[in-house]
Amino acid sequence: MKKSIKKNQPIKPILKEIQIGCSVMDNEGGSRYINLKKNAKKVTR
Amino acid sequence: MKLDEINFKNINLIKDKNFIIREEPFGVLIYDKITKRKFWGNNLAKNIIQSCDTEQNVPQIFSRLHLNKNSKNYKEFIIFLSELINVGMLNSNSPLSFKQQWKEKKISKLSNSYPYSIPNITIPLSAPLFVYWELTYKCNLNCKHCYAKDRKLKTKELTTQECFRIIDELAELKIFEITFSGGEPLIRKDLLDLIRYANKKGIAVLLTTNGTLINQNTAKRLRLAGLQAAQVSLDGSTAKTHDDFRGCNGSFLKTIKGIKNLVRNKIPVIIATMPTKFNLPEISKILKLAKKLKVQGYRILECKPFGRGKEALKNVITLKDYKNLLKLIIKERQKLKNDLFILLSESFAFKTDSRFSKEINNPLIDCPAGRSMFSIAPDGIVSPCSYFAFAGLTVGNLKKERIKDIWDNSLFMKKLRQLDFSKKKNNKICLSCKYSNKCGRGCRALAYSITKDLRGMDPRCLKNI
Repeated sequence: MKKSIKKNQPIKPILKEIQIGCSVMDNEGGSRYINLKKNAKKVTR
Repeated sequence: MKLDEINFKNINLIKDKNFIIREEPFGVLIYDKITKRKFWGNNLAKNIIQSCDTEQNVPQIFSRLHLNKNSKNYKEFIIFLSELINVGMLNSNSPLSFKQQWKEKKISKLSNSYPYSIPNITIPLSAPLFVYWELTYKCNLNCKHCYAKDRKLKTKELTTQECFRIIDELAELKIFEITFSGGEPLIRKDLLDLIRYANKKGIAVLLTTNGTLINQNTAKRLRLAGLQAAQVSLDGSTAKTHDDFRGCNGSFLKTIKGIKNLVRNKIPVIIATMPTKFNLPEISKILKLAKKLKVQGYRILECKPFGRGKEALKNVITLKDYKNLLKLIIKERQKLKNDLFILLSESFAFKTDSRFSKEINNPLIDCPAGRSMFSIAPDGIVSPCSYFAFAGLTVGNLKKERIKDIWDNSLFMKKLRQLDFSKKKNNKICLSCKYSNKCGRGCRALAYSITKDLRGMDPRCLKNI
């Protein structure tokens, strides 16, 4: 059992940007292009 | 600067507070509350992220993970950390700007890559990532296409206290976003309280509205409550076109004022248009107007045959018109790229495969209904998405049940997560189409309402031309 767990352990960390359909801001990764960060800094920070 | 020249022993890493990090059986899901970017990580990524935020420096974190100490592993580990730093998830205490060093080297693949659907996950998510919440079906307009207008509730709308309780549950489950919608959500007097409460609980709140009720004071209060962005519907470049469609004289001017008030209060605005035979010739002008109004984004929606939308279908543009509209949108997108980001809505994206444009080369998104989202009706009835609710397919009632129980146990949502399209015998067009694994397969509720099969073909596919 222990062996199989070791075998299945990923050897490389993976991080991927994802998107979800139908979300107001998210289609085609729109939020990346819409400059939310700039506005958010001005307003909420 | 080479990897070996950086002294990692002096560097401690701390997680940024603006990120929601949610553990999942397959790894981790991450949400940037500021930029709204979402990330998926595998189990090793999860372990590394968990190990940050300690008093230990980078080599200590590495050894704590019990990774093989060969140089390849260590390099992968460092590259991964640099990606986390580049997307802003980790901050370092390094005076020499660790982040800057890596940015200069452009080592991160993430910043240049396109976002994808969640990679083939067979294990369901522990909870949805976002929730579409129709707070009321009441509205001050009388739009031709509206799916909600004719819907009658079986029981009363949720009370403020019931909404608070639901938000508590959503926060516990680490849901990333709530989109408050309607009807017109601003009809509800407690909308600001709900936004404020959700914001306090760490959930990003978005709003879809017709914009007519947003005066200067309301916009300011929305901002102070913590609203992150608003989608406002605009269906014409002139009062005549917009007001005819919206069924209310004067709504165009009110909507324009509402948009201006939101923009003035630094709330990012997305203008959304439902293309019809009447406003199709005006789309370019609406885009110019959007640019003039200094909104952040623009998106094309699509009428679906639910509720009043059934009647409105006679005004809906043909697939050929959509194809031409898409050409126009792609052209305008290039032209306006510095002023306005034009989003391709999910259904629009669905119509575009690599046959159509080189510009759209990302794998398209799968239907999120019941897989990464669900919808809440004003009376607390839950469905995989609003369109399924109108097709009579609901999965629970939040007045009686808990979100987690519905999400984990709903047989219908389980079915949606396990749809096997390869066994669909009578959908020969999809089976023989070489893009069928890339197109995202469109809207499942729409396919179901037309074909009575959850694996049926979305009738809006361009192959139907």
